[in-house]
Amino acid sequence: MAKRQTWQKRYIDSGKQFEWFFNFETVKRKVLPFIPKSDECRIIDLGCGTSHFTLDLCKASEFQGSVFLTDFSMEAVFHQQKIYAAPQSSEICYDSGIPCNGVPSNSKTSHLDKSAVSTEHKKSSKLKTKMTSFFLCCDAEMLPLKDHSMDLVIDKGTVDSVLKDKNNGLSRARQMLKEAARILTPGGHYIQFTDEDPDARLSLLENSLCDFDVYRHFNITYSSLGFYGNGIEYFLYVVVRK
Amino acid sequence: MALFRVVARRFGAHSKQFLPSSSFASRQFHDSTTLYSNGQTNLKEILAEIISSEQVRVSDFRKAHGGSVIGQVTVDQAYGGMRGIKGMVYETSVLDPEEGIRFRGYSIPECQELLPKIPGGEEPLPEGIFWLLLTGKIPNKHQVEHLSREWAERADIPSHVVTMLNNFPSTLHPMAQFSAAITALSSESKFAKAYSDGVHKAKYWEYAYEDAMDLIAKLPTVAAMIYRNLYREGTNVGAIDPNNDWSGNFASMLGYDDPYFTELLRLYLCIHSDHEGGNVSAHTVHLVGSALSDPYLSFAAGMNGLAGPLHGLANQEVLVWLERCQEALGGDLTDDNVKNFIWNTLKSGQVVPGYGHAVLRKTDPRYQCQREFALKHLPDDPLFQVVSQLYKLVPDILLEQGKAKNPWPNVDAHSGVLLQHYGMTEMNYYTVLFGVSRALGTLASLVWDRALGLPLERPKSMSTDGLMQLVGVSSSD
Repeated sequence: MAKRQTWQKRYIDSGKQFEWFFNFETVKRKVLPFIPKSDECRIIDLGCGTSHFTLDLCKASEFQGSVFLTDFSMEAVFHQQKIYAAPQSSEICYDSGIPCNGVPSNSKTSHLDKSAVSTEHKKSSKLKTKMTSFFLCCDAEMLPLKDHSMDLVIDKGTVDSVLKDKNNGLSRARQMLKEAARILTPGGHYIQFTDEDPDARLSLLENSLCDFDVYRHFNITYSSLGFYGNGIEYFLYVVVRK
Repeated sequence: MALFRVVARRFGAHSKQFLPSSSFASRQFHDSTTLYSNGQTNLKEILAEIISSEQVRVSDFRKAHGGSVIGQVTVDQAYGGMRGIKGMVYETSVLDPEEGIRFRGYSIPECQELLPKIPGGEEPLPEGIFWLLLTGKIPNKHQVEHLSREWAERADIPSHVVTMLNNFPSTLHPMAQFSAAITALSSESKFAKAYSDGVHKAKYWEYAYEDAMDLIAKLPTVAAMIYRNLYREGTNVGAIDPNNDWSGNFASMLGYDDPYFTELLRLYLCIHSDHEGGNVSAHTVHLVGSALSDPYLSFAAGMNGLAGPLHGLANQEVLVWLERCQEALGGDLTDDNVKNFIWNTLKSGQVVPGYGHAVLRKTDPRYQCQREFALKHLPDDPLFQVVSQLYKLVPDILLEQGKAKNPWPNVDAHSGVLLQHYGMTEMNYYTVLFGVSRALGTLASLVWDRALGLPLERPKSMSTDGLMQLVGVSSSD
């Protein structure tokens, strides 16, 4: 579950939409307040997979800014391109650390020379908005993005997948959370959907986001999303960079 | 006095047959020729030293960081049982989402490896867990033996409590009987007496310690009397054997003579001993204790919390469902049949009880060690086989539904199965066993509450109007 190959194979075998926990409609009311209004704003979906969550979210809120769909599985990124009605022929940058033209990059990780030219700017006529979408095949543990470049970071089941790694789950999850915190603008929100209990998730967030005195730099809260069948309770964790 | 007798025996013993060895469960003190000094087995003295250094450590920490912010509180949390709010200090155990409960930093597998066992036994002694919870240090064999002996000596209960127990109607739930008897035992409280004698607060912990030791020693007697009165026609629990360990005496007072049942009891009493401070029973003991109610009253209050269906009754629900599964499949436990049964349960909107610990990311080690016990001692038990199979199949089924949550079985599922195997089929009684075990952690913590001088607990409550005002909403909205 924590391996790239697993997801690649899964998406190749079945290109269908797969949603962790629930789809957008279910939690619409809770999520819409987080969408920034400005067309200068950027939303990123970490580990988007073949979920339609962010697309639905952008449509419902008529988001005008830039949305980034990222996943370490190429198949998933292709899928996202399709559903955002981007042309098939566009290339996607892959392997973290490769600076992608036109996309803010993290200067620390630019070390490879061979790279496909990155991204696809597409004014989607379907959506009738100014929204532009970018598709990145990259690893959430090492994002090719600048510090403080994203206003809203969305994580639905991603950190949960990483935690499934039997040997390194915890350290990988910490790394991923650190990266998510790094790319978050001051005042920006990192929202995380999961079924993990606050006792476990709050302490994971507190230990990962920042090495020292976390509540000086971030506010971390959560709310229960309720029980959606099978007696499992879902939560929305919200991290705000101060 | 106890220590003198032990010392005399050690000096005098040359042959291994000093004491009649009636069963595999009795222990012999004379196998060591080394003299352990008074200081090394005197728990109270050892504790006193540790307490003074810990008091300094805490005080320094608070001086430097007392004002640091450690969380944020929301309206939902105020309505939601304060869940997630870090508002309490509890030293004896912490739940690690990766490794399960840690007793003073030691995980259950580590405790199983490091804590002393009876000669020839495989399960750790609860005496060792108590020593660890109280001091933070792993005890050696002699310290544990000393503790067993001390508890055996403190085990007598006053006649008014005996009368009370014998007068309870069989319609009174075992947990109610248990809590009532513990409250009545407060006539023995040394803490209450010291307080009314005006003892200095720096010495409170010493009396809390005495009451904790007395109470823990008496709980098996009380619990066994309740069992015998309800389920064994009021037969006599018999006398405490000073050579037997705490669990050994408990088992024989209950009327169980299978040495493997006693081993199970040792394991059970260890793994249920503590589970952080926020749960209802632990929090209640801490809360009531903060008003300086004596440890008997505080612990009885905790037992009233444990009696609530949301806290201590999970084990029953699981057993009922397992039995239903067994009946429905009539012994034809193929993977396909069991899978269908699970799916049918889920499709009809029900939950498969006993799976998914809310907080853990991996299998609960408390489940794991019980499973290992079962594999060793009762692999062919039919109910165990249902448990094994179910929980082999359930995780994949959950995953198919796109759930990330840890689907592993609950510790309660397994304990019921094990107890049933040895003949303890009275499900209403299981929570009493849980209560006896939980005394180890909650009372150790209570001693530390007094040692650290923790004050009266009093969170701020808000009315709905008050909350609305705080948030900036007009209360007429």
